[in-house]
Amino acid sequence: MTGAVLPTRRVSVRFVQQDRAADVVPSFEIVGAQITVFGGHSGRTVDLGYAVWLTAAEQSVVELRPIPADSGIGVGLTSVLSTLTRGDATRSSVGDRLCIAIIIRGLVSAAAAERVDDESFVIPSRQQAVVRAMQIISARRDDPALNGPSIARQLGISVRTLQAAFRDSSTTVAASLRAIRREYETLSSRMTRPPRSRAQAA
Amino acid sequence: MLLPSWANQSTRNAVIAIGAHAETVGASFAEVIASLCAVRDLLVAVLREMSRCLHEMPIRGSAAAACAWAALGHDRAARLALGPCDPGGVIRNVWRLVLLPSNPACALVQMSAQTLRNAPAYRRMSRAPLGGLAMSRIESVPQVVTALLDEVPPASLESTQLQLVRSGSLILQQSGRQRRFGVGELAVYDVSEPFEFVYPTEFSTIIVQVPTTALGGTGLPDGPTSASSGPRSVGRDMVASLLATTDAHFESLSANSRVALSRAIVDAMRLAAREARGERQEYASSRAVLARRARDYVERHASDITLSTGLVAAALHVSVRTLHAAFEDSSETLGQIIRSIRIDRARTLLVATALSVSEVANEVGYADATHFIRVFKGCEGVTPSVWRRRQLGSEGARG
Repeated sequence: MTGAVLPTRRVSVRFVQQDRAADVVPSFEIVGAQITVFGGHSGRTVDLGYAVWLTAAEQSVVELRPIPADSGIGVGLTSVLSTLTRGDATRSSVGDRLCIAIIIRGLVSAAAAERVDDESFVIPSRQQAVVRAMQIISARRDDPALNGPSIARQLGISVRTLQAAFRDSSTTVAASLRAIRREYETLSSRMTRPPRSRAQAA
Repeated sequence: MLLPSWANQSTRNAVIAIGAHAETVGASFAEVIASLCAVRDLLVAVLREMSRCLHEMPIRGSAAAACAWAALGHDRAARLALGPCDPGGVIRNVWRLVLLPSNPACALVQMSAQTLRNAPAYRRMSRAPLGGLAMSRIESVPQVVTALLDEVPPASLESTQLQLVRSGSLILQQSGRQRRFGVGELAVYDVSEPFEFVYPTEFSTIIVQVPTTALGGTGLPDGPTSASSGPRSVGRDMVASLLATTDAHFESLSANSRVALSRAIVDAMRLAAREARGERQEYASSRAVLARRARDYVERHASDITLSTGLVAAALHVSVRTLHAAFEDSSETLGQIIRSIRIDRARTLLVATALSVSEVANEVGYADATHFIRVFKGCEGVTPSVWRRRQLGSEGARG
């Protein structure tokens, strides 16, 4: 897994909590290389400096409009980000902060997938394919049999179409798969022991 | 209505109860019956088990229905309201907690529940698949719930449960420890170990069961843990927040978003396990520092006849217990280290000076020469005098 290249540019997540004024709709605004979060309780700002990456297709889709913080997957993002405090930026280990970034990336990626299924969004088919493929990769990240052909089969498109879609996002299926699997390894850390049955554990 | 021919009276009761509940959850009666017929064997097995467990009580149709639906993992109809039952006394029944996971790696845990007051009882349970997990919601009256682990197939893999208290409180007993969890607190425990819940008041709770292997084999802190125990954990806070959020918005979430949230819950739990491991390493590191400081202190004060573990602990501003714990990973206890340092110095004095054995004893911190001789003999196999003669004799022979 070493040497795997992330499939696209990184974006930094900036978490901003502001007073919820009556005329402010809590939402996540993703502008350029920054994901800014509005909503929460007090006017404190927490810049955790976490690196989060998205494919270009996912990035384009989530930038179309702010993600509502109080509905859909936005509620998950809100609950994750609202648990973070200013101290976490310095107190948590690098590995722990990376885990947090991975969790946030997964939810932002799922936010893009929500839009693909939302008819009020007009999203090019190639972007749709990448967004959906990323969800399949995330859901089956521990499946060693997962590869381009099986993803294409699940999406009901040809492998060439899938490859072309990822090429439009300046990446490849294999690189995306490697990146997600590498994240999974980070989250898994090292297996300290093999799975045991209840009888063995007793 | 015409029930299948295989239905006995208990099953009929169950079907009737399910029909009533199906109405409240929006499933058509025909759909319910069709599902029920399709799993006839399972339902019969569940009823038989109920009957065995409840030999002293008549089977309640609604309880059987709850078991059946829980076992089926039905998305919508797995809701139960036992309703007022046995109002004059304490009811006793056995129920399958609606944790039955979509993931076969999760263990099925059968529970025995006993209510804690003589009043009409109710128990509302629902279960919904959440990605590869299952989320259960339970509301009921004060009760004690005990895991019946002998009912769990030994081949079941270890599972971990995450329980978020929504109202009331939970007292969890496991591994000889007891922890109380208030509203908004998250209990994390291993369901392969015996455990007991006490809900002292009416309660509402959310439970998610995760195969322990899904947590990366990282293991959990020993015994039940809570959000309030120990240092703050970002991962634990995230799990609690995600569970509450998912529960509150479950119906409005798309299938893919539910899967994404279940993944986030598992990943946040992995993060919590990482953090706990880090704390343990930090703790181990702090113990090593304390052990080194204690050893240094002993080196400097070995000749002090009042030197003891209590004195070292007081000098280092820790309890004797903490001090002893600092040496748990080393091959010697603090008492052995004190003795070892003193005997080393005694050897030096015996060969390098003409001090008497009593004087050497005093110099190295022994007020009683007899005690010193006994300790020295325990180390060298001979008394200090004999040892000195042998050492000086051999040196004389070499010279």
